Amino acid sequence: MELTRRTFLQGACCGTLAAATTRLWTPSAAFAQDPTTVDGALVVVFLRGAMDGLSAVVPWADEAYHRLRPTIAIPTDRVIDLDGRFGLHPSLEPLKDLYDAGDLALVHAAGSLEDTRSHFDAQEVMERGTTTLGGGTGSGWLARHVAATDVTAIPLHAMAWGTVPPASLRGDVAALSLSSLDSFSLATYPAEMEATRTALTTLYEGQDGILKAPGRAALRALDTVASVRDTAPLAAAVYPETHLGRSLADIARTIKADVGLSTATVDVGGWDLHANAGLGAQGTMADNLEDLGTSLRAFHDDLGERMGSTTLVVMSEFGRRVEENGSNGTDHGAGNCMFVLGGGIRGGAVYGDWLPLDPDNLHRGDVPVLTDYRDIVGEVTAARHGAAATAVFPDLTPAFKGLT
Amino acid sequence: MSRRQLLEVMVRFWHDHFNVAILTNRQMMFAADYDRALRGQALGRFADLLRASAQTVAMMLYLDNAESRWPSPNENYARELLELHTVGVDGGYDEHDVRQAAVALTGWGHSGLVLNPLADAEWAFAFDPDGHYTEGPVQVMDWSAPAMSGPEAIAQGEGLMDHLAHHPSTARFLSTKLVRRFLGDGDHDDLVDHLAQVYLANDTAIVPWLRALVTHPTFLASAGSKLRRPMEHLVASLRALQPVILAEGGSQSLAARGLLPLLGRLGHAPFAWATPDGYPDDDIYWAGAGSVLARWNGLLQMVRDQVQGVRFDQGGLHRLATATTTVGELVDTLTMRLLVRPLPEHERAALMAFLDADPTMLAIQLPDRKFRVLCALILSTHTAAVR
Repeated sequence: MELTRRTFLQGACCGTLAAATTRLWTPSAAFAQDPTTVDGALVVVFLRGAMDGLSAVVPWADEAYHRLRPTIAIPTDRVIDLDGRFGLHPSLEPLKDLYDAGDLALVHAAGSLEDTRSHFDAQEVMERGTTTLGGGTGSGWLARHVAATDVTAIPLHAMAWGTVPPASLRGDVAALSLSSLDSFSLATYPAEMEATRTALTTLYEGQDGILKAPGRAALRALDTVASVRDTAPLAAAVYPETHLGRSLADIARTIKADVGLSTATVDVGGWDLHANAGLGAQGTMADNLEDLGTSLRAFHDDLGERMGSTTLVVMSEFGRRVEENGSNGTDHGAGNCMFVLGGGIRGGAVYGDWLPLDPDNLHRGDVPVLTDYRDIVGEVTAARHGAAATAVFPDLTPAFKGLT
Repeated sequence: MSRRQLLEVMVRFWHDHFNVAILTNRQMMFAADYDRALRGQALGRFADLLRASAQTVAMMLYLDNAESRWPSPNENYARELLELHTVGVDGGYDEHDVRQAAVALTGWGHSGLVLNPLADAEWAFAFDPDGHYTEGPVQVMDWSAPAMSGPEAIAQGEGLMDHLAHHPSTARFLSTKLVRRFLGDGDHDDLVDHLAQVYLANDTAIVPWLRALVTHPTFLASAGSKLRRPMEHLVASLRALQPVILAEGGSQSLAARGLLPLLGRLGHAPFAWATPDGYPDDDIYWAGAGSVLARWNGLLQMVRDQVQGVRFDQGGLHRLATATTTVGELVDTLTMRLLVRPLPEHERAALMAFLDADPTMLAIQLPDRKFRVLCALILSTHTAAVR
């Protein structure tokens, strides 16, 4: 019960958030004493390398879009119209049903307020969730989110599918990184399993080095991950055989296993398409979006009812230049689109202010950032877990867009 | 295994600095050539190394300069040349400089673009004067060059690179990275300043720069403070274990087929880091739970003969024990053999507990399985994970 009361008070302090947090948290009160119960899961998919949002969520009705992208623009007759202004890339067709059903919301011209075209600076500032590169304490926004939600005592509360947790999970949170559920076991002789584990536990408990915490986390998670492998049902949907597909299948399985997963991340590379992004609706960008679309759709279908207590956000460090370059690609830009999928989302709409792509409206040739991405993730994460956006983003004055 | 360890360390350093990922089969054909280009200049002058890294098919493909033709320059390589290869993101350039650097480098590409049709495997770096900007001067920060045309216009880009290599921001940026590579994440401003001066005073020569580092008292005092990255940890463990490397047809390709996937599971395989910034060098990046587990597993797989082409040399290590050696003495002897330094008492005690034996028990009585896992555990200690 304390979980609920504390979260309620947190919400109450923040005025307008109180209604949302009580509404979302009350149903979980009955389960609050079960240490493995969390109020649903937040999944963040980060597309590394600057995804071209103008190819994903296409401003097809804008004449300037076609004029500035004579080679790579998605032909209007291939675009899947959403609202007369924007349409989905044909490779994202699997997401159209989710949009129509109100499960999927899109945001355009979103991004970071730090005006940089460096991938690495942009990812850093976005994952720290600060206003400028130099701001904040160095911790990641997801780590602060997890820390604000009272689930840190659960072994698998925060997991990252990858070699290490991303910068967004950097901080006072023992996030578990893994490349897959299947590979997360100790490769010693079966007959030496207990002795090897005991030895490693003693070796790592007894030191104060940088590997102590991750070593301990790995050893403690072995049994829980094994139980997920052994008990959770396999995927109830067909995922693509890609890093994203396999990772989302693992995440869905972990959610269904009820071991307390509250926050999960997966990174997807390969979006920095300066050259040969494609011709019209075919090519590398189309392949990447097909992976994204089919993976998200499979995740949605796999989770079924559990999707109602799951929120998935797709983001990238910045968008790409409106005008194509000479090599069928685009250089680094600014404003970009985001995807928000899941329960409690008022989907079926493209959120955010938008200006026509006339040269006067562009920022150095880029889509200007008109929506702070923190107002999107701040709103949906507050709705999902009750963590106040101001705790997650200390220097943000929230201006939510009404996605929840 | 190479006996020139400093050279290999610097080759890895430059591979991270000038990272190229092999993402397609076509790029795979130029990986060996790229490695030779960096290797050839790894202990030479940075100015030469910078040019050598650029004038490869691998780099021209990876960062798309092969696609950069006037009037539509591709900014990808030029941006990373400034941000990652030379002056650094805070080195004093702006978006206009990025654009102008791209203009200066228009026409840099490979012979497959100039001499079509040419089989992929025969491609080499080439400059295409027809793709180069000839209409006016170019300026990048405090460097400028007049308009140039014809084959000699490659000198414009080369002049820019030479200028950037000698830039004070480059000296500081490189020295900061070198200190992080050799000492760790700590704050070593004085040493960085010193190295930057040495770098500039020696016309970007790498050897005097390294000598200034390794003879500096701060370096000598830093032992044990840097986490080994997985490849280092693995290679050091291989060196120590001296396993039997199974050759196939006189080469070591069989072992490479086993070790490369192992490095992949450790998240540290050559040419596999996708983005141009190279593998991270801060300890925290390599200290994830999955990463630590992968280290343990890599070592366990090596001693269990589960890595293709690599066989645990049980006989060689067993010879460390004579008929009268106790398990306690064996642990100490093995530790010195594998780590070249003793373990702190708590680590030694954990290993003795693993053996679950009377310390006076004879080493030759130890089951083979215990002996192998013992080796993996010694190499999994904190002592083994740092340098």
